[in-house]
Amino acid sequence: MLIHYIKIAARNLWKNRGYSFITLSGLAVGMACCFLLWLYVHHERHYDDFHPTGERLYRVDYHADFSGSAFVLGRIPAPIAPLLPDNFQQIEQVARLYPRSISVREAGSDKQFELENAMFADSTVQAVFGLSFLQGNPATALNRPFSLVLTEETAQRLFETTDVLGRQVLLANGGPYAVTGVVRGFPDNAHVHFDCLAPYRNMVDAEPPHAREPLRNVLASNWLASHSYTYVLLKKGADPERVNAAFPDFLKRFGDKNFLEKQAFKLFPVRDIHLHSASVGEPEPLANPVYLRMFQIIGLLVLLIACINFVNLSTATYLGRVREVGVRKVMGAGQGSLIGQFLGETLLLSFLAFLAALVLVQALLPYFGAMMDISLAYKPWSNWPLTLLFVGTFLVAGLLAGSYPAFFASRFRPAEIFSSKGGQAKGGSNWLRKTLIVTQFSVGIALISGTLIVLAQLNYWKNLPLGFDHAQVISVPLSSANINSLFAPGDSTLRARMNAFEERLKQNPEVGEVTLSSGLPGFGAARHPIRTDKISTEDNVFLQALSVDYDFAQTYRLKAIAGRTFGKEYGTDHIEGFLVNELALKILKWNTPEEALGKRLVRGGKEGKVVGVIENFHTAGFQQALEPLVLEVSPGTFTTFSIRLQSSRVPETLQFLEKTWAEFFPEKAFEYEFLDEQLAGNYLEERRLARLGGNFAGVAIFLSCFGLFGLISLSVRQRTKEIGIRKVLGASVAGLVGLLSKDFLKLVLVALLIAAPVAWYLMEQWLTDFAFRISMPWWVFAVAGAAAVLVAFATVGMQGVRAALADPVKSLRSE
Amino acid sequence: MIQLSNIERYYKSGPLTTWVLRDINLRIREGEFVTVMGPSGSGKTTLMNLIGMLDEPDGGEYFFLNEPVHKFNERKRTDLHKHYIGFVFQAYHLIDELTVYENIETPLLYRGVKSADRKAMVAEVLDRFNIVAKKDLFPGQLSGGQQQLVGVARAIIGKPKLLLADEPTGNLHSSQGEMIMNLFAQLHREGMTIIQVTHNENNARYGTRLIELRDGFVREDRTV
Repeated sequence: MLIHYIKIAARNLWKNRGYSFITLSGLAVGMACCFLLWLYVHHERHYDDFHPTGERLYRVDYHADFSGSAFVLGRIPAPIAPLLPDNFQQIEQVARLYPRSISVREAGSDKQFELENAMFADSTVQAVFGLSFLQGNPATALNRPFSLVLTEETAQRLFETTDVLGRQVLLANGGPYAVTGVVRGFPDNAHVHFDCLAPYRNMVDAEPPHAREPLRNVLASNWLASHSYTYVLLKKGADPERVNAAFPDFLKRFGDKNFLEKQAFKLFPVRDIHLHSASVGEPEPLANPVYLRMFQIIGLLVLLIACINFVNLSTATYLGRVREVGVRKVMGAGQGSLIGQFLGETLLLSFLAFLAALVLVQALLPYFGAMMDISLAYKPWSNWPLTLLFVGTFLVAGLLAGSYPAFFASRFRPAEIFSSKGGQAKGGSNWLRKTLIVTQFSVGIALISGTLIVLAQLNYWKNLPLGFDHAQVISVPLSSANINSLFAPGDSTLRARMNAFEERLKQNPEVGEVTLSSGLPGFGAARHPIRTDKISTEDNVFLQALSVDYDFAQTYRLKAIAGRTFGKEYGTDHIEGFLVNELALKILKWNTPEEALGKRLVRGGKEGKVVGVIENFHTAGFQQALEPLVLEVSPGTFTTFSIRLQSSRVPETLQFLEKTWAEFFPEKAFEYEFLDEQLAGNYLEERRLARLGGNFAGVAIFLSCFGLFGLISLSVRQRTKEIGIRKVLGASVAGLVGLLSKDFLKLVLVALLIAAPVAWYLMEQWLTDFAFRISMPWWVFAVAGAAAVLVAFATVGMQGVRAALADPVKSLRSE
Repeated sequence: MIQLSNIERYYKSGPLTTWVLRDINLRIREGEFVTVMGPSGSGKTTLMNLIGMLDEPDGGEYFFLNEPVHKFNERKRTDLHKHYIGFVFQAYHLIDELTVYENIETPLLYRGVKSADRKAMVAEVLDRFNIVAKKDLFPGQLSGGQQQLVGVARAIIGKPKLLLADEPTGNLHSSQGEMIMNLFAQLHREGMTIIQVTHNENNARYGTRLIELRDGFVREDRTV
């Protein structure tokens, strides 16, 4: 019996090759899209699942409440960790990680790399995370000073082999460090990554000599500074809440008495960091759970559309088989066996689609990964929970999609089938199919208009002036990314070297302006407490402040609307000069720019006077509003060169820069980035959303047209006779196409009416988050609707024309 | 074998009631070969569908082998007809996607006959109808007469007590029609009860009894 069913199913699939292909590929594409999105969501939801120490692994978070604004930090003061195991019986092991970027080279080689994620770590790191060592002894690898553990990738990068035990490496020109181990790096879905591990105390040796003593003090006794990520491995069965509860007493005993009220420390599960951490200063970007849910829903919607198609197309082909149903009933088939047969067929078809979807997923993964900026892999066997979910999806989709046509087909009474001669049966419940079509197109139109709105918003941002000139500017970091430099006093030789470097660059006509600053415009700036004669400490005014060199305003073409910009010739600007922007005037209670000039201003511990007021410029992405800003000249805090390239001979100029850099700053590898590209990074998430939305809107509309194609074919088949009669009576082809298309186009219009307000509402919510946003562009809905109508009409029209051109003699011939 | 009393069948559309069958009283004994004749629309096919249990009467009583069919639910009727009744159609109604062999085998599948028995039964029928060579062909590859031969083979494979044939030769050339009618005559001689609908006077001559319908009433009922 089963073989019999499979046989007839296969033959039917073959007989209706066209339909089968459409049905199958539609479902396969829908499933593949859904699977891809779920893979992504699964990937995001299972961060840090791979640690063998898994559920016992926590990070200590720093809840700080200074100056009235509470926030959570991912790093805690350094002296805490060594005290934890002895004072908390629940804690088995503790390891600190201090990440920084660092320049690295093999001893004796002059090829220098910048490692983005060098970690200075306690030797317990291997026990806490359960690192998997490929070479070296895990128990002792980090015990001795100046030992170094590399990941496979770093070893390859440095030595082009992983057989590197005992090789000598310099970090920031210090060392040498001996390689004592090679480990597998953390996979993609970890909240933190490292390129190499060096002993924690050696971080001091990576600093310039004058900075070492202050740093040692910080590590030993600074109970305030948020410094190292601190991971805790609890004993089996230990309750993290009891650790949290015991922390206040611990602080009373060891901590700084001045901060007791303002500090709290809590364990946060490492597995939850990626999705749920609220900490400032996470090592890597977190996922936005709202976007994840959105992706999941989009996946489900695409799958829904594909299933709807499946129902519609299956029903269409089954209509051609009512005669078979009748014959089978006459031969004794019960309703149950017919339902079984048809359900079996849809399950077979959806199984084929499922297999095709798996192949598609594997084929599309690299592209999808590139779209989402991650590397995804799917191995059906090792990823079995996900595979199980997929199998479940296919079963549910197959049963849902199959049950309607199955019951529909088996319900016919044979007497009706035969009495209407030739097996023309009525279409079944039309409203259901209409609802399905409307649903499909609503989803498609909503996705298209949503995507268009995102694109319009991005385009708006692209054309909005930032208020400073960023063309052809590259940024060159002065030192490795390393918060330890905050604790160092200014390096007296550094300022001289910076100036000399600048002078040398200016001799090259291809180099334009060069300047230095503590941060780049467009990426925010730290807030500092501000006082003036009108504003006291109690007013709690915190403004963004940027430290810039004298030529910063010229380089970025900032204009003063009152007073002047900084100038070396005034002699005292680096001691007491401040610039404020227009927006700052209001908060600082000065009525006109002129009024501000010469007024006293205190930023943190630095006192001076306002020498000029500049035009506002954007200190962050356009998602954020313009903010008041204070500029000053404090050379000790400079971190980055901004260099404008003059010519079109960019590669040569960059080579020149790199060579000159090596002369002046041998301890640091030359790195650069174009500011334009960095600024574009502010809109990464929005651009990803646009790409994703665009692609899936395309798939949704494409699949909807598949469904529409099936329905119009069905309708044409049902109305063959009517069309024949109309033709005999003199109807034109155009008239007939119109007749056939009219109903479907109406449905698309209804879909537009449903989709537009929903999309409008949702996108309005999205736009509300942005300080600089477009007003809702109504043309978007017109375009989305027109696109849907056009595509629908193309689909319907094609079939309509074919039906209208058919020979009426054939359709009217009776048996 | 069959007893119909006061059977009626009508369609209602709005206020109009269209009568298809009225006041039908018939008793058909085992072994009879009944021919039903009448003009188009006289209710022949409806009568066949009622007897074949593909349709339900709107009134009256129907006993088949003394079982009150009019009181049965669909499941029980299906059960009854699958064991006792075979159908032959004017348009053959073979399943296009199945081979000759598979078409003939299908009723046995629904009866739950075991695989080995099925093979033997189908082989026997193929042999008897001289269509062994055609067993792997699809209906589309056969002539009309051959298709109807398969249709008859399929109808009788389950050894039904009653064979219903609705214009079995309506689509056939006369020579092919004659072949089918001879087959019916032979089945009748072997004891099968047959009811056929036909327009053809010649075909009527094969039967033992003629029932003429007009406007839903039995107009004439006589032995031939």
